[in-house]
Amino acid sequence: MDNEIALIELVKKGDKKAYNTLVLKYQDRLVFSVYKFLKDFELAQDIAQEAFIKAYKNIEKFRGDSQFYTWIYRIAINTAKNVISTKARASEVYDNDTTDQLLSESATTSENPENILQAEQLRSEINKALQNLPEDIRVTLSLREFDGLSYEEISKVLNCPIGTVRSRIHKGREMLDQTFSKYNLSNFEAIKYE
Amino acid sequence: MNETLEERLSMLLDGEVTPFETKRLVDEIDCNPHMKALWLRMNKQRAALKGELIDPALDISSSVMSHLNSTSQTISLKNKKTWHISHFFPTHYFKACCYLLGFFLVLSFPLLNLNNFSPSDSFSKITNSSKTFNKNLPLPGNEALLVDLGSNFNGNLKNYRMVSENALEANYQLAGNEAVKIKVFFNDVPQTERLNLLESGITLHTKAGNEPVVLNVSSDQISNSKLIKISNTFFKK
Repeated sequence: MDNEIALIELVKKGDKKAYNTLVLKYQDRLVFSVYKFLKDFELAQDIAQEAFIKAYKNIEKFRGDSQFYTWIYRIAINTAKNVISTKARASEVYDNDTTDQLLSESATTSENPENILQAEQLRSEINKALQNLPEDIRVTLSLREFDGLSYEEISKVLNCPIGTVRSRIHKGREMLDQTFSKYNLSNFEAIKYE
Repeated sequence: MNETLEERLSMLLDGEVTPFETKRLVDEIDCNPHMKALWLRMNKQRAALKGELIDPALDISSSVMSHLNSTSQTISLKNKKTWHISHFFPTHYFKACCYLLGFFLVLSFPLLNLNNFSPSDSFSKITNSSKTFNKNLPLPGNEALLVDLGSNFNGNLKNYRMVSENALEANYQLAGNEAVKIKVFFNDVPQTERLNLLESGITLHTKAGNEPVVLNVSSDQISNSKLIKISNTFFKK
């Protein structure tokens, strides 16, 4: 959370690299949330992209009252509703009920992309890999990822130094990262931003 | 060196690095393809663990950033919106007003029964002594107390205001850019506010002289355990 405030302060000063860091951080979660809403993968990507652009243009309005993700999620869902409303207007039957109906229809009729199967496999393998981690590392990483505890809180719960928590979490992530080698995700082009 | 950077990236993911370190890591992610790929995978790993991964190859960041670069969006750097009285009055005029106000306050001590008042006292002394932190005291008179209260937990007073006849609200900034809000209710808490207090931060009930004073410390950015530590500093000797 503290990092997030620091990142947003950098973005407010015009640092696009900081914004790219935020986009990389939240893109999967945001596309997933919109996809849950619309059940249309292509549209979910477009809406998430639109939401990130809108959020950047309005970043001065972000006051930090909520988490950045909560804010951008709201933008994305409103954008999704607008897209559906536009569709409804095009068919000249627009009202709120129709929008909800279209959302509901969209949620049940669109086909899933092929990559979803790959994602399911990866999720399953990651969870398997997590279960196979040494117990101290698995417990520490789980407290962080599933219970959302801070390093300080984990150190109190497990009665160990913060440095140990830090290195266990890092080690755990390193071990889980090996699962990704099968998915060819390490070749990303570095793009420079102004 | 790389090992240390990777570990720091893991800390960035968990919000456990300083603002300075954040800036360094942002630069590192931008200029080091290995670090960018690792940052991406770390986030995908988290999404996969939480069942939120929809496509392992998904990356919309390039198109988002290309769009932002092409539209040359510039963000206006607005001045800080923190309210301060010096924004409205010339500084020398403000100082003169404060001196005059201070002078009249000293004269009015016997009248207001504020003879135990000392701005350098910690809140413990304030709350244990007579009615020094007083709703009747004009805001500039309370400012010294609020500043002093903030110094107990290294908080800089950003702004403050009377929210009603019986309550004031002060905002502080901590070293790590964290914001803390302290509400002070004189006498009693209004019915409408009771429920809000239950859901917001830490609430302390104390006394200023014979009058009850309720303090609520809250923040969107820091944990309740840290808020408790902050509230404990109010009573330090």
